[in-house]
Amino acid sequence: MTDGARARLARQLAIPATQLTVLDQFADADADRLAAVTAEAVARQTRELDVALERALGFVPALLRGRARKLLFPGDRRG
Amino acid sequence: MGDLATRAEIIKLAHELGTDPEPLQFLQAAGEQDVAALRRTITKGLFAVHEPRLRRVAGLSKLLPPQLAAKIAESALGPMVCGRIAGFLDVNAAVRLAAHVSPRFLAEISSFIDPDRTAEIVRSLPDDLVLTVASHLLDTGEYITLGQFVAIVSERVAIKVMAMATGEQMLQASFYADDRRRVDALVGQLSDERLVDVVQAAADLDQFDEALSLLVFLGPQVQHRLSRTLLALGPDVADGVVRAVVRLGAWAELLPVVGTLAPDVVAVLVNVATTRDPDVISGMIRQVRAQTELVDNAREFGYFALLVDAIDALDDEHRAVLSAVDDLDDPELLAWAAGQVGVGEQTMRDAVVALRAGAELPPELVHALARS
Repeated sequence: MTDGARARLARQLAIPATQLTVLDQFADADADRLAAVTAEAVARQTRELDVALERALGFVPALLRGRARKLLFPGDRRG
Repeated sequence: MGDLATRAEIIKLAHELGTDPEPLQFLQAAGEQDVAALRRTITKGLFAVHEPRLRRVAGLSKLLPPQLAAKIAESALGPMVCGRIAGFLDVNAAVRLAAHVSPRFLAEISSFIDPDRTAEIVRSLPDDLVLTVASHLLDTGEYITLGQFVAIVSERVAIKVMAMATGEQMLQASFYADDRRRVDALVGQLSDERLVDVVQAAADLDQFDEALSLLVFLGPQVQHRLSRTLLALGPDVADGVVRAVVRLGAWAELLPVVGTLAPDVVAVLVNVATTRDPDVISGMIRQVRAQTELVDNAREFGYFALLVDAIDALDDEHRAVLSAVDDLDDPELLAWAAGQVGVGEQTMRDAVVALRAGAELPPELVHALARS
């Protein structure tokens, strides 16, 4: 496995690539497969988190909703 | 057999990633320890990716009355997000919150928690609540989650969880247990009748491979009790066990179990249908011979003498099969065996003749085996 595949996976998980040295013994194609399912898991988690927090905002009184949105969706311009 | 433990780790990793185990099969070559370490790293990574946002939500939840926070959790956030947030709640806040959500929802959340981060929370929950959650996990077949769960709860609670489980559920939860060393203490608490249930479940589900992979984590007492269940369950179940051992070729791992077997159990195991096939016997001879360490360990444990008992226990039908096992006439094998035991090659040849005829083994060999 090249550093590229390991680094890509480490970036997806926001962890140091040195924690993934176990993958060095595998071919790039295998590591890419793991990176792909991990990317899907992260994307799914992000989507679920966005949807869940959007729903949770419905419980926040309208006056405070903007501030709550900024806190929960940093970078989002709708707040 | 290590392959099975690795397979369990791959299934757990797939569960964590919400995918099928198939694309991760390549990890089989890495072995159990490495895949387990990779799984823990990925689990931590999945938490780390959204940690700042999850921490904020956890912080906000503490500002709300627990009833309202619980309502938002159950009706808006859902189990995945709540499971992730749980890792960032302090113990007291989490316990207060848990009292206001349904046990079914807690069971769903537990599929998404990081056991390392939430162990203290789980241990601080009332036993009744933990048992209700475990009951939901058993009902829904969430054995991977249950395996994590049982690893972090107190032994008292874990024993109660096992008491609620059927034989199949116990087998599955044990196979996926995060801390397999704990299996001995838990299985040791089961009555003989429950042990029979577990072995019967392995037979019904054709999961002897999984059951055998757990044997190495059991102490001699539990191994002995488990082996005795074979007497109650009959020859088909014993045959399933032997078939799995032959299929796995896991002689080295299972060798310590041999010493815990009572003579009547040995008689059942050596006379199963599987070993009526000369090809199977030949395969077994080759498997054992290929494992030098196995033979050395058997000698060290003093198990050579047990061979005499095993041979004595063979019924006529199985002795007759030995006549068709050509490997037993292989001069190289006989020389090797003679060298291992410390007798002459002629003695070995006489032993094979006696073995096939149902006659007594040459005394020289019997003494040598007893001495080894």
